[in-house]
Amino acid sequence: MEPLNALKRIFRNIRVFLLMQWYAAKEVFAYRVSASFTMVAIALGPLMNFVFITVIYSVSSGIGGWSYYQLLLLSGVASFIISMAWYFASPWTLVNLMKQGGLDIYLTRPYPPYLSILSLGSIYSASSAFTSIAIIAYALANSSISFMPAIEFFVAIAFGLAAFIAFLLVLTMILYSLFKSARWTQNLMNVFGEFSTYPLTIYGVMGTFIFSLLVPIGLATYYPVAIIYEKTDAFTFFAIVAFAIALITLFRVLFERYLKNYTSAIG
Amino acid sequence: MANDFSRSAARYFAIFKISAKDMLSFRADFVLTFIMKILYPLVMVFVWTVVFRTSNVTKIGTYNLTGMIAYFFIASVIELAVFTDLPYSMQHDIKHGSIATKISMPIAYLRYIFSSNMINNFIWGSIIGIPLLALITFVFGIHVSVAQFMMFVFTLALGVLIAYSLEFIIGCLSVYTNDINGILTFEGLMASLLGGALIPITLFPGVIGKVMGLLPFQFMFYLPITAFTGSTAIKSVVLLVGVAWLSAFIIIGYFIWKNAFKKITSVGG
Repeated sequence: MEPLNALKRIFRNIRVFLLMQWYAAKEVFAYRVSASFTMVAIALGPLMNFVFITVIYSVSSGIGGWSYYQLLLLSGVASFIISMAWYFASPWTLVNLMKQGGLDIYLTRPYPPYLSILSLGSIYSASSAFTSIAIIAYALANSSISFMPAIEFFVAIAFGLAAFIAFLLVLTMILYSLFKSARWTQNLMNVFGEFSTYPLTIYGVMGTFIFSLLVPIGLATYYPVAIIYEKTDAFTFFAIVAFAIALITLFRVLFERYLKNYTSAIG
Repeated sequence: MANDFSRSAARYFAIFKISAKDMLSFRADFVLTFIMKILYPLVMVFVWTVVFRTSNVTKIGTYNLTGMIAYFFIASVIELAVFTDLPYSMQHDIKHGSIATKISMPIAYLRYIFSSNMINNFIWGSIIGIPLLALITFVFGIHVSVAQFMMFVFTLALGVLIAYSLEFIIGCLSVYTNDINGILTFEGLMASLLGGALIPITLFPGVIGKVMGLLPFQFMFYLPITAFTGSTAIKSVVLLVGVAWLSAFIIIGYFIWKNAFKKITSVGG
């Protein structure tokens, strides 16, 4: 009976999440022209790195060990991960809700608070995620890849993304407790996104350590791309999945703990 | 005459004091912004070092490795002067009705909104920009002659005025649209890409580079950086193009504001 109940709970949570997304999208598109223009503008964001990499490879030999399409794939994956992180976790919304006491309503609902908070992200980011997917598809279409590394690539991205979103939520809570603002979470995320656009190896041992272990963005960007182009050994994929699961669990616990410290006099 | 001047100066000094007090109440912001301004171009240090090493060349375009790295650090500093909150302030005033109270202040609304935003940029520039620029000059061993410095100040002032006038036009649009965030995001991307913040304009291939040389965005990043580092001589005709763009934006802004002002409605503030 227990597995059946768990399954029911999962389906109910998915349904609730999709409903919240639907209403969030409806709210954004209440002003269709403004929303469409904003989405188009945001969709152009990932093209900046596309232009940068194209110009670099047209005036030089590029980055050693990485072909044009390989670097393009890495850049596309990095902007996809950042877009999806914003899509699921908006530091501004979360911090504003905590400041104004509006988080209460989400905590008293009969659904996991984590699920509610994941549905508060920015709908607009979906547009830059689509552009990133187009860049990824273009880079993959021009690369020769094997079946198994391709499967491992997508699985590693999924686990890496989940770990990174969990990290972002905890980072938001920590910086909120220090500065009472979401500004620095946003700035730091932009910096992380910039670093993860290029192979971690160019930052040396220290850079690789920071963006693999301390800030897990490398798990979702650099390593999956290294796997698909077979630049790592077979062990890497399993190590990434195992490490991502450990991080998701750890960050989830930390997030719940920070949430317990949240106090509100209104709401 | 002297009375008018001193009264006017007192008003702007009051705005300066309010802005400075407001900004200095968040001191940690200055420290963190300083760190961020170094972190962004730090990525370019790694990227271009590897690119130069892989290509085994001493120059790409007109830049050697040090010049290329310095370019991105200076771009990071210039951002402090070029990107403003002007359109957001205008959107906030127009949407929330606070424009009604600001119009009744003893200073014209446009003067108030321009001066308060310029003062904000000036404070950021003085506390973060100037020390960082001095640090960059020292670390990269950039020799700046008096002529180079004068040209830097002139092109930067032109770039700031172009940025302000363009953003003023966008701010006026908040009277007609519900949200100008999309337009601002687009403008920001164009300024970074076509202005040379992302990559020096001279590295773009033939026709694209030439077209970019006719646009107003190059005054925001590429030309002030070029003037400061002295990597390429700036022709006087290029400066005339900038003045022409500035004049065009001022004229467009004047007519848009004239029309928009008649349409502003407010029930409170």
